[in-house]
Amino acid sequence: MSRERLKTIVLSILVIMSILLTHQIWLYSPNEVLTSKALSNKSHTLEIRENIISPKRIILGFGGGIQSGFSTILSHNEMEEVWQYSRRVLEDYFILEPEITEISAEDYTEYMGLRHVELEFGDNISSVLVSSIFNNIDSKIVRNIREINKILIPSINKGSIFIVGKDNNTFEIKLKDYVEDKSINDFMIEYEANGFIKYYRLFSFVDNYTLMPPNFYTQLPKLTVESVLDVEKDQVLQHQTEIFFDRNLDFVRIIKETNGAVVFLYGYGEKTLRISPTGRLEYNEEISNESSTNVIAALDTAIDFIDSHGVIPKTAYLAEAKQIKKGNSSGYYFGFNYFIDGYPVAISSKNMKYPIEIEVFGNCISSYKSFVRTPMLLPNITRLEPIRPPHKVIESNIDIFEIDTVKDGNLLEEMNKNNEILRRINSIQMVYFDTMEEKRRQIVVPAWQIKVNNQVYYFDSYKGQLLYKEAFN
Amino acid sequence: MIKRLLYCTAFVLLIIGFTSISAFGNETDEKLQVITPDRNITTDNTELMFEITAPEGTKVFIQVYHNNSIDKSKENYVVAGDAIELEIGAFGRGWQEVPLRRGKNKVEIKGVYSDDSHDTITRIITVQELKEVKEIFEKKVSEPDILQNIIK
Repeated sequence: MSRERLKTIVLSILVIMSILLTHQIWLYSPNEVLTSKALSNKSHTLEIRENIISPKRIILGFGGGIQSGFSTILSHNEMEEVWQYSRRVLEDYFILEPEITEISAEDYTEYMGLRHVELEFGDNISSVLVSSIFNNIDSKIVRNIREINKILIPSINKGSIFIVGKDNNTFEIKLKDYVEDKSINDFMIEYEANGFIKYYRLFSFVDNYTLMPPNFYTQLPKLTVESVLDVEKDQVLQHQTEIFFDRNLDFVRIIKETNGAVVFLYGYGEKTLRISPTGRLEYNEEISNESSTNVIAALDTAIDFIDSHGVIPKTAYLAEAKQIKKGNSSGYYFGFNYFIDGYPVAISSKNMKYPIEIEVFGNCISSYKSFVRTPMLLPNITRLEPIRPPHKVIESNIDIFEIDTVKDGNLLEEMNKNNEILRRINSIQMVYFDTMEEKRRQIVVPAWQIKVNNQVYYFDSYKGQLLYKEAFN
Repeated sequence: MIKRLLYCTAFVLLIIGFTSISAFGNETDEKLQVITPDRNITTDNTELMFEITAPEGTKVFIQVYHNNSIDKSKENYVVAGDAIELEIGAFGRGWQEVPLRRGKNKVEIKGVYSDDSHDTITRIITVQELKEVKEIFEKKVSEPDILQNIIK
């Protein structure tokens, strides 16, 4: 072949290649590459959001009437299975157009006396959040019910479920064409065959239908846990500055407090990060005129931030959602809690109500507090004596309850004083209580959390003494 | 004469007055009571919740006896399990799950008060399978006399 021919061929190949490559660059622009990455990020957020909007408590009711029947409160791994079955049953109610009627509280208590599953969600969880799990935020339930506090699914499902919303307004949700799902009933029959802790409504003699176990035979151990953050390790601190301040370390000033806490100030204090000696993290950022338009977008923003700046435990759930205002900005507060060894965690802090708290305004995070502990792989400290049932703990501490009832101003005669106290108890639950005293490592104890109106009490479940109490508004 | 009569009447009235006052002094709250179950029952539950009221400080002992006689005309109660002890606190009320066996159970609830006096209440609890309980109930309801009584 002649030289000229060869040159022509090479030249034409090069021209064709450059056309093809330019074609690739122009049509398959980086935007698409970036958006596909963003989509995969979004589905990760969606995945977390669908897991985090889950009940804080699941109760199985075994029938027998509201006064003498018994129920049980599931531990976390049992909750996962029942929540899965419940979502299958609930899907049609959130996607189709059911009939919604308001019913009285008395009618609801009738259904509590039959075999059922009751899903209890956190505080102020708006119905649009629950509905988003079923990928339908414009469902009929969302249009008619603002907040979902509890959902009751009768185990012999005849096409109705019940929802308790804000201020205890109760609704019956009826589907005409329903598909009977036996998975919940089958689970309950199998569950009943094995031993479990029975919860009764012992205070029904004062018309209080709170569940509590007359005996608690499981020997729950004390657990050793440690904070995810170790404030004494320089690498950890370095890593935190990089995460929060985008590696702009020139603008960061570090202050080490005498108690061992470390504070990072960014710029003129627009951003601050504080890590306490126990590993508690607090991040604050100044925001101006940012507002969140909808709660789901705000929750997604919050989840993204926590996922990239902190830790979301696998068992985390949304414990509270609240609309907040800061100057001209309006946004949302989200509180998350999680489970340790099957039981929810409770902390004794005047600063934090939940172990993970975040405030979102539009795309900005104005505040993020995190105090996550993980169990250490140490042998657990088991006790030999049995756990004291909560009604005995209340009885032996009745004077503590009395003082706070007297503050309310309603002093009754001796005979009825105890009954009045019992009537006000509205929640009893076993939790793992973190006194947040030690440094990074801590022993958490199984404790009875007892809520009376707006007071919360924590009692050691073995010894029965008061560990902590706090009033909430 | 009339004066004497008047004095007598006054005296008699006083005595009657005193006896009636002392009659009202007897309060049922001071005694052991079994609220649940409030009478002898038939159930399918092998762990029955007992709700007991008694004055604070009363020690309650619950002993279950089980009828192991195969002969339906005779009853032979034997001790079934250890006595369960329960102390009544400030609420004046106690709750206890009592394990029972299939068939007839005699549950003796003995309350020993702080002054060492005691009271005993007995309940006969028959434990049967749910199917059997239903059959008995259906049989009873279908009997003509009972139906007539219900209709009346």
